Amino acid sequence: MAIIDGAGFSLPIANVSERVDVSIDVSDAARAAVKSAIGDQMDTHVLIISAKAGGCSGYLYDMVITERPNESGFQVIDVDGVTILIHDDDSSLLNGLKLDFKDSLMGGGFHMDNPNADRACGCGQSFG
Amino acid sequence: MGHKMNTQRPEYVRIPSAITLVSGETARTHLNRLLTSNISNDQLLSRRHSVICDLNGRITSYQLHADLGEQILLVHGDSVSENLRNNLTTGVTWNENVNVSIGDGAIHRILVYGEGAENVIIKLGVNINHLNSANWVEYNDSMISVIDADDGTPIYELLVPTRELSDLIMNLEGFGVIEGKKDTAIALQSSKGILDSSINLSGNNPLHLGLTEIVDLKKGCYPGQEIHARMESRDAIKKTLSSFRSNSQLSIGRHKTSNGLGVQVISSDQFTQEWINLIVHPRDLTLDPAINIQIDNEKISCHLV
Repeated sequence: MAIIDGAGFSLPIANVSERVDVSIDVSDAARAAVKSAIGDQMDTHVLIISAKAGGCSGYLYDMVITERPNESGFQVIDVDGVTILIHDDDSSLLNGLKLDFKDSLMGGGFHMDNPNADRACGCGQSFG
Repeated sequence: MGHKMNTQRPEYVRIPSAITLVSGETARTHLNRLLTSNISNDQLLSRRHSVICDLNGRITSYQLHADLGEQILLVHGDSVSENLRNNLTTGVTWNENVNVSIGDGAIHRILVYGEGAENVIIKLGVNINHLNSANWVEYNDSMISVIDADDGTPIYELLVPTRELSDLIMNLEGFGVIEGKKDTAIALQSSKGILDSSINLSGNNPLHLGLTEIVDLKKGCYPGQEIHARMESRDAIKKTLSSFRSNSQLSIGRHKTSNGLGVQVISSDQFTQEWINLIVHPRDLTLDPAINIQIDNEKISCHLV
């Protein structure tokens, strides 16, 4: 669009992300659940945990098992053979995270306890 | 609303505005997760207002959108720039592509209003039949839209890059348009119940400002959604925003009426010899078109516009 084109039209980028060295705690149950999900692809696949804007409280947890990406910008955490990646941009939001897994029909699945969260929403997927 | 307000001749005013440009393949998705409204189906050149709230459902930024397709231009007051940009630059995941750029000073917001404004816009070469408040129309390298033309007193809004600003102002002045005051332009909008994008709404709940059309409780979660949904389902929206006129200026902030009701003045802008005020008040107050607001030791009479 012409309004933001034109010679010399270059805008400064806003960026406020802060990098901290991440430490996370993964329970035995969570580690087993991640291992089970990755299956026999442990050599090629990793778990990436990130914080996505949105949700009722400001941020949403996002967990994805994917083929190992270019690790530039990520912090790599090895938990008993399971590789977990957390991006530098998410490091201040996720440092100190405790990851647990509950194997129950009601309210089962992965659970996060985040010391950086002042509040979490009812479903536990969003924090702020 | 009561009688129409307008200036005797066309005027233009430059509203000081901050500009944030959100771009990248996933910019719309990212922004949509934060806003109370749903922009996922917005088209190229859509125009809308939106708010971002905190987890308590209170506004942290109020902004005007110009949808440029892969980029979304946000026009807002300078006082919310930091909050808005912090919100936009955090929570971008590793597999998303979102860039947030600062366009302050690169693009300007001009309003043209008053008796004869329509003819001025025609003389600029714009087909006014193409203008409506839900869209922008390209005008040279600028963009133009119209704010509430329904009552016959349209206010034209232009977003103008710096390189075109002096030419535009020269053209406007050549057509007899004089430079007006920011207060006048804001008051004209307030009298129509329109909240100018430069007004600081931070700390207010959008449902208490009557902004129900930009709070979409069906779009899914956004920051503050739990609070808004609970208010709506429990019929707990006890306040609303109305436009009142007074003979003197009201200070922005919380006050009491002479019968002890709490009210909050959002804006107070002079138009000729009176002030047009946007005031948050208990909903049932609208039954009474006049209130007295106590400021310091003075009682100021305010009447619904």
